[in-house]
Amino acid sequence: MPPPKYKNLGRSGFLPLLLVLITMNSLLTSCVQEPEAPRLEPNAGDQLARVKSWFEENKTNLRLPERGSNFRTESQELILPFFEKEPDWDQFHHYYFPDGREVFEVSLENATKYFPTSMLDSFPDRDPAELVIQNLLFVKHPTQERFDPLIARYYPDNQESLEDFKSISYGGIPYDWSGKVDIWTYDERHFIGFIFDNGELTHHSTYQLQTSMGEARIMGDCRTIIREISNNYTGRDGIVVVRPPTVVVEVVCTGSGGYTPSGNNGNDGSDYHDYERPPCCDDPVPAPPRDLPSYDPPTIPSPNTIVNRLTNPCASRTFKQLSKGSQYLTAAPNDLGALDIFPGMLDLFEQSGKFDYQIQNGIVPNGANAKTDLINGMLVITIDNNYLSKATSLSLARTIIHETVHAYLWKQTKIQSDLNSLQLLNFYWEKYKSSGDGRWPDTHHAAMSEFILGMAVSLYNWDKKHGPSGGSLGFDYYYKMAFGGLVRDDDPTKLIEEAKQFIPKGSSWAEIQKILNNEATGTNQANGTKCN
Amino acid sequence: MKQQELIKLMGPSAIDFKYLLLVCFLFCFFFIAKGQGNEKKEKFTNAQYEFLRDVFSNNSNKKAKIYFESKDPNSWMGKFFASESEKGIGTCMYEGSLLKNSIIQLKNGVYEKKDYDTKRFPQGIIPVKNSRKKKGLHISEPLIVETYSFLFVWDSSYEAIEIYHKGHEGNWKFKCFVILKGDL
Repeated sequence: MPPPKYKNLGRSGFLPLLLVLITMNSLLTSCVQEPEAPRLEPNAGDQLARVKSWFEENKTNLRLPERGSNFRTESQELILPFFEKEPDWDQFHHYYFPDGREVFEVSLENATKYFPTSMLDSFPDRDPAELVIQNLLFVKHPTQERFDPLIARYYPDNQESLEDFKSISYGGIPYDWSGKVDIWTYDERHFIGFIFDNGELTHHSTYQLQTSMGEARIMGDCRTIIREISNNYTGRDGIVVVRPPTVVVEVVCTGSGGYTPSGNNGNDGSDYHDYERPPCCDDPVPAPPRDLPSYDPPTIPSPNTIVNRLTNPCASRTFKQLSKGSQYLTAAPNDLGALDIFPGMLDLFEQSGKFDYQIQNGIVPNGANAKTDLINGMLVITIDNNYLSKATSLSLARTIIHETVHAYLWKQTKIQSDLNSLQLLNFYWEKYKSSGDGRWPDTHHAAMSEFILGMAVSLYNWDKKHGPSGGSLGFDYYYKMAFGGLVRDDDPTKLIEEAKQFIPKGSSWAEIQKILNNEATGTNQANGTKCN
Repeated sequence: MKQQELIKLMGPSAIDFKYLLLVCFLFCFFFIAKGQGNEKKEKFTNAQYEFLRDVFSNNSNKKAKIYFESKDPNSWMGKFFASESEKGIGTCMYEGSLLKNSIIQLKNGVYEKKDYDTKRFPQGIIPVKNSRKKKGLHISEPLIVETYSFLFVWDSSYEAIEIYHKGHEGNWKFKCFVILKGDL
């Protein structure tokens, strides 16, 4: 048999090509290292540098066109005199709107801070301008490389709502904050205002065309109030410059009845939220004509209260009541009032500069009443809907306290402010090394045993002021309820070892379980009343 | 004549067969070459073996299984460093500068999976390639920086980095941890 003619092999030209491909593939895969996976998440500071660069390049295009001083009265809008904005790039918040748009909220260095006249009454001994937080929001455009700015001004209503830059942002209104958040376009046109009462967004307000002078009228659930805004200001030389006032109509809307900033029915429209300038600072400047790209104020969602996302009215109410804590406590047994841990734990989130705590209702798997997860850096408590439909408010308050202690302990691993809690977590993490899936919850429940008394006092305080029995159940009852949820992960019917020592003499886990079950399911033996 | 015709008929397929053999040979050659290239990966250091022996050879709970699965350290470093504050990281407080310096070095280092010799593992550690379905404590290669060791541990419901410290007596001791993921 004649040997095969190898020259035929390459006749098609395929073999050399294949050889070249294989060789190249081999060389490439053996010589070039695979790219490393990014180790760090993109640094927010680096992203902020892009915002800064964009702002420096475009800030002259973001101002009002030169139209003289009468544009205010002609437009009937509330437009404040423009001043050059000086962002303090070292102080910023970074977050996302619910639709995914990225936001950088940067502090403004300017001493010029417009504020409502009502603040002069709320803070008679203070310069209101010093109490206003004034920031620039840069909202990333969803498709283009631009960061359209808005101005956010936070006006506190009372002493308790005074915040520093770190503690408040459009993405994180403190859980108990009262005041107004005003949003202005970069060129100082009033965009929208949001009014908060104790952490709850109650109203929003806008300014519209004037319909008739000097009267307020009701449109559905909205009330219009005529306002005359003074445009006078004190220049750097101390001379008051008198300018024509602006007359605007403020429309304040609420879902339930009328409202004015003073809280009365507002028919006289006498309580103005006029805006004042502090007696200093930046003189208004005429703005040059706009160039392209034109300023396009972005749409915005309402400010994020972060904390309370409970849609169940009873649960939401209970959470708010708990957060007020011992400020209402008049007589705790044996001076235990100071142990009311719930509000202090929420305060810790606030003081940390990042309110990464959220509570909501939803579906919780495996028949649990509630759960606490870390989701995108946020500690999220979810109360089970099915549980909410059966439980008494007393049981619900206990569950909220329990989950908040989880959130507190978790938060400690991020801010390291409570050495004792960290030591407890370290000790029990080692102890429960063999708990498998249950290692993290067992560690927590063991550490939480140290908080039983504090949890009981929080529950007692809540019932005394807001609950169905007014604190009349005897402290032992609240104390026993504080054992709820302190169970082993592998067998939730069993109490975690560390909690056993705290069971009161003459009582038992079985007895405590009965109390917990009665309250959780709202049986006729429960002392609380059903939440729904 | 018939035979010659048969060969003639088979000719092209015989040539194809040879051609196929050559391609297979080339593939095998390159795979072997590539395998040899992989062996150039860094290997576990003595300190890493010593750490595993020190921490896991005295496993008091013989029932609890410990699985070893090699993981790319870059997969957890982002979340790990996100838990750092000025005061510490996870449950660790920066009491002195030692831990903080080790964390800085860890940040600046380049890490990748390493080859290991299972014979040098302490008894009780079960090496696996994919431990996803196995119940028990799962560990990966410890990263040793100065007197601190960073160990990625996990189970189906949590992920954490355990930080160990080597004291003056020369033993590795658990110091604190950073939870990366968990359910409560």
